Amino acid sequence: MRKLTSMILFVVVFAVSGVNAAARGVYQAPEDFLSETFGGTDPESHVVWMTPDLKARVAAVLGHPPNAMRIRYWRMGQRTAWVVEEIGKEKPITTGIVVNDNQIERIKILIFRESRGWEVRHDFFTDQFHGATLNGRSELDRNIDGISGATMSVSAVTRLARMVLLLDQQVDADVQG
Amino acid sequence: MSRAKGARSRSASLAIWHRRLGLSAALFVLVLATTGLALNHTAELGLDRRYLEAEWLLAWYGIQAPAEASVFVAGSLLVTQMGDRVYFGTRPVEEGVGTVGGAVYIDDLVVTAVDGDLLILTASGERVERLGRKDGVPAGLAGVGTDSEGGLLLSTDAGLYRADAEFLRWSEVDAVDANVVWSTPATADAATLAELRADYRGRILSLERVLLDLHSGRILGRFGPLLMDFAAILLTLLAVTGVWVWSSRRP
Repeated sequence: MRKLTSMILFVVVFAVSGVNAAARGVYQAPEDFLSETFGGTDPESHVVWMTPDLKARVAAVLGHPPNAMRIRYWRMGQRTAWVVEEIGKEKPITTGIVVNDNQIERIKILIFRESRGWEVRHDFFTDQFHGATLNGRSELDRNIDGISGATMSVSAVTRLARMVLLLDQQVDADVQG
Repeated sequence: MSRAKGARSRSASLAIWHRRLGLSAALFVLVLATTGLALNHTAELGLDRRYLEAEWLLAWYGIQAPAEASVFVAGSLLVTQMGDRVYFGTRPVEEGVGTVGGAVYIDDLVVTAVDGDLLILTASGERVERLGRKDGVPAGLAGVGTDSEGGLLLSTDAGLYRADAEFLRWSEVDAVDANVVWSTPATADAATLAELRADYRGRILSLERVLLDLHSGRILGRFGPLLMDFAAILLTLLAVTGVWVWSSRRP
């Protein structure tokens, strides 16, 4: 009986630690994400500078000041691609986001460094953002279902989606202005 | 002895054991309850952002600062890598760093080669951007320097590259002029290094970590969790004997 219990414990611990080890890491290199997004072509990069007004709006979305004075994006026609980071619990989650005509076309978790909450990388979570836009209060036009045990990662990715839509609006306004 | 008298005696004996168990478990209950309460509100209490610097506690955990540090001079600023941290002067500006390959000062900005990326910060430590392969930074970044016009030069496995003024585009250059200054390792004085080591040690052990270790017993080393297992058994017995005593005294 003792032997059986030990074996079960070993298998459970091994499986859980294996999942954690496998869950952390680079799912897709940011440059590969960009290449895939633009079909192998290499559009020029641009930057959005955090003006005081934009910085305040981004800070309101993130719940803290942005972690850089400028954010880079790649543009081709109406589509823009962004590679952005936000901390879930302790470490940044690198996320690729494609916006098409002010709507989210795709979200992909590129690099996950946290020890928990890696479930956000699955399509069942990221697919919820497809077609999402911002309402007048800089919130998403839909509810994003959470994942038990990944609350902070879900929140971080949702904040990033809102921030990118906000930045995309700013880029459009700059282009038209 | 009658059956009723025997039952009363067993009940009294159990009550005595219940009290003893309760007394023995009191300390464990206090530790588990207080740490558990605090840990349930980690974010609100900021436990993960508060660091403990007590020397005895750091020594207990065996937390040491790295013996070696990489130092580069960027303008009038000392850029130091200690462990996985980068400091401007004595101010930490970046964490999670593997290797710093050099730092230069250009137009009020400090450009630091970090793990093959370029970390661009203002002299006060505010991050402008971190540039990597996706941003066009060539692979195999080995060093950074400035040319006679004050432009940023990169030495890479694939050759030499020059950045435009905004660090947005990179162009390969065949040769560099004689006035190029490459960033090379420097030294820091002992007092600065001592200050950095103290700062480094003081930003490792979070209050959350200590409370978690108190809660699980791991703060006492490998036998700590066994002690907490013992506490869990005590509490289980306390519940069982409590219910038993209560039910045996029911009329």
